[in-house]
Amino acid sequence: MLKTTILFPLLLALSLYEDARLFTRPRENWRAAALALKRLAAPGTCLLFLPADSLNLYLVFDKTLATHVCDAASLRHASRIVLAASPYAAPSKAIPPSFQELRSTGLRAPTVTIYRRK
Amino acid sequence: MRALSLTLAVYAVCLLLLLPHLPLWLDELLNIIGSTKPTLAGLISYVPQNSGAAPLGYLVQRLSFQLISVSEFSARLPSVISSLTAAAGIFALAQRLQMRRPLAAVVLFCLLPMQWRYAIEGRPYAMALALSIWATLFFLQQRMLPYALALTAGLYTNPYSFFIPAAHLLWLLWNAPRRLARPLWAASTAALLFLPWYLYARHAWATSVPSHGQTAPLKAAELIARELVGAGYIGTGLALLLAGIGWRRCHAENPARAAFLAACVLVPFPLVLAGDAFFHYFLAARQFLFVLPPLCLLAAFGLHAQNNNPVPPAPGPLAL
Repeated sequence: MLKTTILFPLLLALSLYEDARLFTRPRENWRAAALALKRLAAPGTCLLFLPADSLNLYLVFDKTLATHVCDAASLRHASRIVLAASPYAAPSKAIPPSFQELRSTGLRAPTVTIYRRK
Repeated sequence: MRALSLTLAVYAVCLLLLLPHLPLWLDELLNIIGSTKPTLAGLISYVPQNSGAAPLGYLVQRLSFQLISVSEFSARLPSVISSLTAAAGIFALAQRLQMRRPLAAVVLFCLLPMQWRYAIEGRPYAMALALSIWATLFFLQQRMLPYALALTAGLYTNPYSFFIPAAHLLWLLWNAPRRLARPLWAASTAALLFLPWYLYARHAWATSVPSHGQTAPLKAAELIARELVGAGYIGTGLALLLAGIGWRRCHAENPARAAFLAACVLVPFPLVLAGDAFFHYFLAARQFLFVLPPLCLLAAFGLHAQNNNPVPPAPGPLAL
């Protein structure tokens, strides 16, 4: 009985500590990434998603992002490309070499990188 | 009963206050994408693209979106309600098993990090867990229609929840084979009712994840030791130690009851590994979620004073 009266509260305390840690450790934040993309979407800018179907994840937060997706024509004319990379995606080779990286923000797992035409 | 109400009220307030504060992660978003498909047909064709997925959790989340709106809160609300229902089920089970401190099992269940995580996640695991707990209660009460319904709903929420009735049936086969027919009929009915979904989804399941092959036994053991209750090696060690002590005390009072809880903890392990091997799915700690309720019950039995005199079984069709 003595053992369990010590061990049981110990397990409860350890559980409580881990429960609290769920809220403090780094975590994917797709909403923040979607908001960042929304702010960056402007005329002359197109959005590239890696992998392409990860666009659906951002659309949960903002359906209008779909209207800014890069296609062949917008890639030719855009002065700026914003690459939204899923943490589950392979490294990107999707940016044409005529663009140079300006800056990159890891929004807690999804990464938003801005490229400008050289 | 008042203590239970108070515990559940505090737990509910904590969950409801905290759940909007966690950003949605990938798997939750994949769930929401399915639940927000414009048509039901779209939802049904989307679900099997997630290996092992079944539609009930998506449908309940869709209902939550229709009743409230699409948000983190409404995406996770079904899990919060499920977790509260599960906690009430743990209390009812503990009473059915004549536990002297049923609230201890409830508190442990609510706080276990693995359960806590899924209680505030927009995926159907908390719902499947609640259904497995109530199925266990219906089984002990020998109420076969609710038992069959809970098993069917469990299968349509998470197919791995069916490993708990497998434990029920094995225990019955060992302890009271003459009573096996009705639960076996109920479980078979649930399995048959799930067959159409399985036949519909199995090809999509097979192609939705790359083949992972079988997890090496040592790696599987390491993962289970680290993540079983969600509190690392120490948490798993403590939980198993307490369950072991509880099993001994429970066994001294009523060997059949101890065997029942032990079966519910142990039987799902090989079945999960076999299921993963069959479907070429990767091993994940959440697949062992369904052993948490019996583990909590055993751990709380450890709080009973040592008693080597058998206690009379609870009245009812399955005397435990």
